[in-house]
Amino acid sequence: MTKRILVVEDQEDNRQILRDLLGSVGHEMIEAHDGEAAVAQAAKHKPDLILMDIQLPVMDGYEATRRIKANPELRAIPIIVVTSYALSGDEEKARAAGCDAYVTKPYSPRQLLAKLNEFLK
Amino acid sequence: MKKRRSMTTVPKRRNAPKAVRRRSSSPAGRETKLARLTRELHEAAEQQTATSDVLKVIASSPGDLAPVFDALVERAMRLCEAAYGHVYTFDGELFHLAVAHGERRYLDWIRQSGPRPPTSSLTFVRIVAGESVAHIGDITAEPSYRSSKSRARTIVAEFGIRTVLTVALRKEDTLLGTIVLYRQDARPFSDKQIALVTNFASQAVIAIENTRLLNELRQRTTDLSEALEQQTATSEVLRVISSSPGELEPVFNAMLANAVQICEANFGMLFRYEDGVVRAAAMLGVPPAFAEFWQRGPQRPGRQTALGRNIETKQPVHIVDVTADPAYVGGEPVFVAAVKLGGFRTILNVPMLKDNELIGVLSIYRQEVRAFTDKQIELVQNFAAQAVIAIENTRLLKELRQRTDDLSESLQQQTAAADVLKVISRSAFDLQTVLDTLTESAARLSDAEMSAITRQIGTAFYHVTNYNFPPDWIDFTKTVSLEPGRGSVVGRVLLESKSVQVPDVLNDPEYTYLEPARKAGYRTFLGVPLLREGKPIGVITLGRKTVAPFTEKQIELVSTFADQAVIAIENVRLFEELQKRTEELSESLEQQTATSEVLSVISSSPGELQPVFDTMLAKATELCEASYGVMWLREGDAFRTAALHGALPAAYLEQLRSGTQFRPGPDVALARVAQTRKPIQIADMRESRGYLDGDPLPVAAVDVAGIRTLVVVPMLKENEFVGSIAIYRQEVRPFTDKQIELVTNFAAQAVIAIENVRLLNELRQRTDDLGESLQQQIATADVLKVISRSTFDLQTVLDTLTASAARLCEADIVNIWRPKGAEFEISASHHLSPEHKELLQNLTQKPGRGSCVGRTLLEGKPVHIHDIYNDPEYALTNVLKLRRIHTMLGVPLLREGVPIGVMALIRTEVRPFTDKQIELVSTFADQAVIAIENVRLFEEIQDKSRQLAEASKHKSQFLANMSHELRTPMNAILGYTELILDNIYGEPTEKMRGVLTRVQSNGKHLLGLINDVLDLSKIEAGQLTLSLADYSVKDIVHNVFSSVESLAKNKKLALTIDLPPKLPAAHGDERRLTQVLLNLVGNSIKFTDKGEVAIKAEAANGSFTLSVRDTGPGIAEADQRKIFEEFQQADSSTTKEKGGTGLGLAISKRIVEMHGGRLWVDSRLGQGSTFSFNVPLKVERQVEPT
Repeated sequence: MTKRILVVEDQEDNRQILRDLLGSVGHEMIEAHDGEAAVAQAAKHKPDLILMDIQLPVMDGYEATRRIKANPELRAIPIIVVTSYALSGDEEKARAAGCDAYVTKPYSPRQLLAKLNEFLK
Repeated sequence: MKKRRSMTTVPKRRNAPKAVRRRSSSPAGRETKLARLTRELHEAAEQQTATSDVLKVIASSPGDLAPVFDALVERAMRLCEAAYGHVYTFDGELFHLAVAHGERRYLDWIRQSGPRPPTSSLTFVRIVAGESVAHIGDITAEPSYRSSKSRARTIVAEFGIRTVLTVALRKEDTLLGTIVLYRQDARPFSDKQIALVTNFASQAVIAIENTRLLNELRQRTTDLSEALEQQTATSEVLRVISSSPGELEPVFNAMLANAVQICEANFGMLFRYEDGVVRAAAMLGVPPAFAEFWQRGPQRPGRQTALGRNIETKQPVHIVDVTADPAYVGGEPVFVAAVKLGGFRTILNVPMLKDNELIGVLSIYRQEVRAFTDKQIELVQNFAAQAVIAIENTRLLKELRQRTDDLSESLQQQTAAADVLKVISRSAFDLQTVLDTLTESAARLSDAEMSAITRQIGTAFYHVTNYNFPPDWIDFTKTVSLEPGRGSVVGRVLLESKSVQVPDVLNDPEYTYLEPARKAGYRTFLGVPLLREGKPIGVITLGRKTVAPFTEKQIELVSTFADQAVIAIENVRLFEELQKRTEELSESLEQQTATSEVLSVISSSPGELQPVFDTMLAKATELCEASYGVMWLREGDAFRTAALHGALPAAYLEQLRSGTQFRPGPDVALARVAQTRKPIQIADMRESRGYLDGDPLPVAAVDVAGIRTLVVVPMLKENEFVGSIAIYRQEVRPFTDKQIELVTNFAAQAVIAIENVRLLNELRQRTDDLGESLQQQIATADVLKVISRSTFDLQTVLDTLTASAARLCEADIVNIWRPKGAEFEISASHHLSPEHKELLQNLTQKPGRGSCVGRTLLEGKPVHIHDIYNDPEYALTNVLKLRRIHTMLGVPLLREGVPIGVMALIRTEVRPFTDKQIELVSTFADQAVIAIENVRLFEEIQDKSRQLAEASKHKSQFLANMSHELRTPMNAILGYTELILDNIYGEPTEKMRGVLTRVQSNGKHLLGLINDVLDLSKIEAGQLTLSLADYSVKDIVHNVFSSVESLAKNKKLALTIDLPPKLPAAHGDERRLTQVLLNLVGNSIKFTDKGEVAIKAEAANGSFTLSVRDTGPGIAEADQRKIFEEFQQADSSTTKEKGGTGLGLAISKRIVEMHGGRLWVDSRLGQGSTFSFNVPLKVERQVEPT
């Protein structure tokens, strides 16, 4: 069943991987290249799930997550943070912002897909 | 009426079941009035009967409660239709079952359930809380039944009990127990029934009370009768003692009889103990065979026998069963005999002690094994004490009798000469009176007309008394001394030492003492010697004017008088001697007192000689009854007056004026004493050589001071003449030897005093010296302390130095000058007034001769200016003048010979510093240099550390950023590769797939490197924090196993796990510990080409150990340390072959250490390796790296 996934990612390569990965299983992918756009796209498209990078231009992923989770209409959308920040405390910060899962880069596309499916069921 | 009242006292329970009320308060409708009345009458009669029955039981079994309780319960059950009934007694804490009635099975159960606490019962709790009646209509309906413990449920389930009635047995406010009734159907007791039980309860209380009183009475009676019996026995013994004084046997027998009877013994013995042997003094009822043993004579009891133990311990010995006593078992012959011959079983031996010495033993025996009670032992002890008294009484009585006999005899003898004795005793020490009395008595009693006593005075004999001799005889004999010879009676007595009688002096051819005989007119003359130790010390003579010789009897009587005269003379002699001694004693006491006074002066004014000398001289002068005293001390070959005593005339004093030296001529006593070192006495100065030669000193002494007799005594120190003491009299009267000795004694003490003072002064000097150096040492130590305490607070150190220097060197101002640019400024000062400070604030100095500081800098050594006003080179400034500065001392602070400052000391008076002070300031200057140097070095180190920390931080930050930046492209590389391999972009060729697999594995290796670098940088930056949580060691092992299983399989290695069945739960960072184990296992698999890799877990002593053993190449000992360092592998050549960053072990080691654990390796080249780490099971806090 087709789901609508919002991918927030400023790197084209990483977007392409996700595009290919999600496309291979038939999901629809909406993109945002910065945090502000992510908040707007989320409000506009009401995706089934959001993959959120943290290090983003304009507004970082933490803030974007916080804003989306502050919106009662969007609060239910699961947010999986996907980040290359792997220092101690990073995950805690992401959790505090309201994300539902935390995946560090580099990730295995196969495993990321498995994680996605946990939330899409 | 009574019943009704008792009914109203039953408190109505608020929550009594309604059924109870209905049943008891309203009559049953269908019953006729008659039937009801009849039933009530019947009930009342029955209850009355029951009550009276119970009362009967109470009356018939006094002191025994069980039958009373039985009767009560039985009737209560019957009248109240109860299935079970009990009486419990209460001791304040627990309820004890007294009686219980009911079915067998229940009784068995209740009787073995033991005392019950109030909480074990729903009703007991309420009774203890103060209720009189606790009534439960249906236990199962009680709200607390549901929650109650097993007991209430048990009695319901097991015995069908439903209704409970508990009534308190209460005396005043004290709860004594309860009556408890149970019914097996849920049917409440009626008010009447409750009232009846309450009535029974009152009777039970009365019964309990009666029993208590009765038992008390019985105990009292028993006690009393026992005491009475013992008292009677004691008094009987006492009566025997008093009725047979001096006779011990009846006393002993009475005592034994009473002891045996009262103590319910079979027989008894009383032993006497003396000189280590024991004999039987009395026996009562002793079996003949055993009695015979003692009748043979005294025995020396063995140490193990009861008597032996008495002798040793002087304590009672109580052997309850002699056949069980180790001594008997060991074959002690006396014990064996006692048992065999006397059937002894229980023995009580009580010692008889006089002044804590054993004088006997009182023993009683039983032929059965039955211990004597404490009271019985006490009684026997009482008897033993009385036996001692009786023995003592007897002894005293005997002694008294002996004394009385002795006394009466001597009294008889003494009565005879009583008169004379009376005189003697009356005038014990007036010899003349005694002798006069004797002379007269002798004459009168022997019918002599005249009598006299002649005594030895000096070497000759003179008449000392006379009776009835005419005056011209007396005059004549006064001057005549009698000597041994035949010419007189006295002479003959002295010659022969025995009585001599001349019947007629006129007709005795040898008698020549005729003139006195004619003067006195005697014819018969008797002389009796006064003998002392066989030698005549005098003669008593008696004369008759007619020729009538004295009879033997008369001579004997006179002899008695002669003896008494000797005694009297002797007494007087002794008395006089005593008096003389006493005088001597008091004299020496006086001298001793004087000496001790002098000594006390010496001790009270240590270090001061004058008071000692003054006291000494005063005492010497007074005690020797002299007028003046002078003490001289030698000074070289001259003398100086050290002390004077007595009102010496001024003109003579002029000669002796203290403080001035003088040299006496060689013949002057003083000079002679100095030479001979011996005391000199001059009986009369006027005849002395010195005076006759005209030496001014003796001339002045005699002519001015009227001195006549003098003694000079030397003061000698180790036989060396150091001075003398002289005392003078203004009359010619020589000093006695004793007096000279006394002065000599004082002279010796004077020497000691002088010596003491010398030593004391020396000691003081030493102490002062020591004190000074100690003070300096303390100051130095203080400064060092300050330096060490405030290593990096230079100002404090310098302030301390200036303050210490000011105090110890008595400087008014102390400054430390330190460089400022090319010049020097004050950086610490002491005692500098604020205005002065301000003036000096901007003052700088540079090397130059014009100032103390400048000169010190110039010369590089201490500069001491005694007075700047007398220093031509000194540039005087107004400031210096204003502060009135005079003496200055500058000491350079030298580092490697170069002045880096100056310590300047200033005095506002002209008073140069001592060498010691300059030395001390140099020490301070050295310390200042050390402090300055320390601070400089410290600051340098701090600066370096700061730079280092900065650099390290930059490095860590850089590494962290790098690793982060590298991850992003890695994501693309690994992501794409995986997607291709997963055929997202279509099926790649087998060749492409092979290449992609290598891309993927290289990418993963690169990622591993990045991760390791990140970890290490985090650890180094102190950013790695453990996430501490509960985990299971087992899980870690299994996780690692499953993630490396395929790797091992690929290399065809056996991978094994050895886990103990039970591993305790652990607390720590699971992820990091997994990483460590993974690293170790990964390494082992990597480096092992064949064989196996074994993982083993063990837990002990609050920690667990995980070890990984492999059959790889092993690690040389030299490399074992290296492999834990960063970027190191044992053999760098293998890096290319095997891969790996060389960071894994370093990281693992840090992680283990952060858990407070240890990581190590055991390995030998060619024999495989075992890597192990041990971590505490519970890690509550991360261990910071040291």
